[in-house]
Amino acid sequence: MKNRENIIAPIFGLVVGILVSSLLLIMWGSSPLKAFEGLYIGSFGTLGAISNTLIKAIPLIIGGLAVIISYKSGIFNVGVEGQLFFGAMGGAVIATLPMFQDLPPFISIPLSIVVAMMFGAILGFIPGYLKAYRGINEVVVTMLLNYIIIFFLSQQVQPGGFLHEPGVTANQSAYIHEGMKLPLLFSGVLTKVHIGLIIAIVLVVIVWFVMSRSSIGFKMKAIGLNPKAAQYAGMNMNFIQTNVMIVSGAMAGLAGAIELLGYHYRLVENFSLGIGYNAIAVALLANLSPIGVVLSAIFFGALQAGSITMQIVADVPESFTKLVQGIVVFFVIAGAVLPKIINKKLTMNRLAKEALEANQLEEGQEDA
Amino acid sequence: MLNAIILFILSGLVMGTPLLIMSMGGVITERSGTLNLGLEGTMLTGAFFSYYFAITTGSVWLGLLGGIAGGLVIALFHGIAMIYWNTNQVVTAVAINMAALGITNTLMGKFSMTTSAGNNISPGFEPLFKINLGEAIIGVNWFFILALIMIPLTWFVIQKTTIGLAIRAVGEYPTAAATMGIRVRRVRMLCFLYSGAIAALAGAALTIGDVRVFVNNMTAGKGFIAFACIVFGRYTAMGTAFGALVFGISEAFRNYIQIFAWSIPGGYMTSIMIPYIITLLLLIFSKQGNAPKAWAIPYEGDDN
Repeated sequence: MKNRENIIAPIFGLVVGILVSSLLLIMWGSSPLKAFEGLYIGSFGTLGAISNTLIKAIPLIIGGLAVIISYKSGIFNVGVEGQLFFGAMGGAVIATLPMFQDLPPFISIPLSIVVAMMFGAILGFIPGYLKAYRGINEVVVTMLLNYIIIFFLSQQVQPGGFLHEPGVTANQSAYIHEGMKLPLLFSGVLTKVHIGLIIAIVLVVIVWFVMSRSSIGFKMKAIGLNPKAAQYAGMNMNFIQTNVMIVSGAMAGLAGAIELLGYHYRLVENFSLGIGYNAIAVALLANLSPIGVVLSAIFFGALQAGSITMQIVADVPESFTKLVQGIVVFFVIAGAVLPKIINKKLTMNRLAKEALEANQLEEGQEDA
Repeated sequence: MLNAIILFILSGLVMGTPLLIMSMGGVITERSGTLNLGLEGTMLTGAFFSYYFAITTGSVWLGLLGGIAGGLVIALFHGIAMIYWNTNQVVTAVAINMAALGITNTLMGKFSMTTSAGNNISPGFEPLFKINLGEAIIGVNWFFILALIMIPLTWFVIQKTTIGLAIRAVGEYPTAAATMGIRVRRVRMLCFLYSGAIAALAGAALTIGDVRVFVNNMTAGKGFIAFACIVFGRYTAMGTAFGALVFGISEAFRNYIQIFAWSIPGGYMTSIMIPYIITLLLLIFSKQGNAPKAWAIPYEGDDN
């Protein structure tokens, strides 16, 4: 029963979301068939396109997991965006600053990733602590931090910033050091897919295991489902929620490091803009299932990868994919509650009918 | 010196006008017991549609109406899901903000495909009077007057009228309110639509009331800042207005830095960050609490 509901809501959301966005396209005078054809060609049409889709899916998987663990513990990390940016900055300290250029790659790559995770964790700690111990709404804090960090990164890659590439006028950091690129998985075949995919899949398994097979996962879910009951049962809710935010932030930081070392190779302004918000969509479409995240990340990765081809083929602006995303997520949320509401309405109607019939029966008896 | 201070506060009020208007609408929703984190998306939608309709019809007033209508549509979907279907209020807002960003980005993309760069300035409201800063002149239009009127008006409606009593009742004790014959969901929905319309109006204040162009994601977190102001203001109209004023002043400070070319560490980017940092600090160091008792809790009872 539970499993069935888990699948119904995402499918309902996908179908209705795609229908509604197609309707909007028709209203604006574009052909939805052409748009989705363009999306398909750009995301799965060629080997290069598939590679692109997978590359876009990697940070979405990790970010989606970061959202899931927080959400399941009753604290909603909307700050993956900022934590990812901050993490990437931490990673860039090791990967681009000249003082670390002599480190051998087998030290510098893990070091860069660890520093990125620490940066992300710090940024996750702030809203976690404020929510758990001060009761400040975590959504507002993380959103404000997102804006601050995105501006902060821009500032630091501009001339005068500590990550800015010396002697260049463009707003960018230096290229990462020799040998620090993440190894590619299948050289030549699926062109650019890097080892981040393996990291992401391993993380999926770990999160799945922790959430469904370990006592800490049980505690997290208990807090998320019924905080009061969990506290009566002796669980230290504040402590667990703060730590979950730290881990969630660290995961977002990891995604940032992987984006830096595996795909962009240098920091620029807005270098991975939107991944953190897309990760929320990924987690919700997956109905918060760690396994489902892989599929849903590939779906959203495909939307991103195909958006440029769609713009060329169908003359629909790239940002249409954002719209599809928002509408799909909205209907996934609605799809999760609508069956209950319809069920309740039907039950009410049945009860009313039964009461009416019983009433009539009684009246009939009285008449007789 | 006194002159300078008055100018500073006045320009803070002017800079904070959209935020003031929006948070005055938002405070009504929060008092009715609904968590409204969708102000951001609603404002963005209002900003886009008021710009779009103003430029296509050539009339600012039609633009304003179009913007409010756009905001109402977004708020309608958002409100029905949250209030009638009892979806998770945080997640729904996130989805709504995402959809609003997508809709405005896409429409703007389509619009700029067909419009040459020179023709993208919309008509706007003329300033009623101007504040002279020496180096720069700030125009003030009727949005500012509206914001000033809304502060006492919102306070009055919440505290002194029957409508306000109903709003507070569904926010504090929805079950008791329902027993008294108040339709909880309807009151909450009307409050929500009201704040949606007001947020869209505030969005219009950004485009046709100020810069006369639309830039993707131009609200840049103002919806969340408005919410932070409400929390900081302990869910009262006056406190919220004070929060919005502080934010406005920190935005005005940013403009001063640009206008007078003051040199601060980190330069211009720091001045962009300052309003967000100040809002965050205000939120952290303000006294928490005083939220309506049924705040952010969906109403489970039956009503028609």
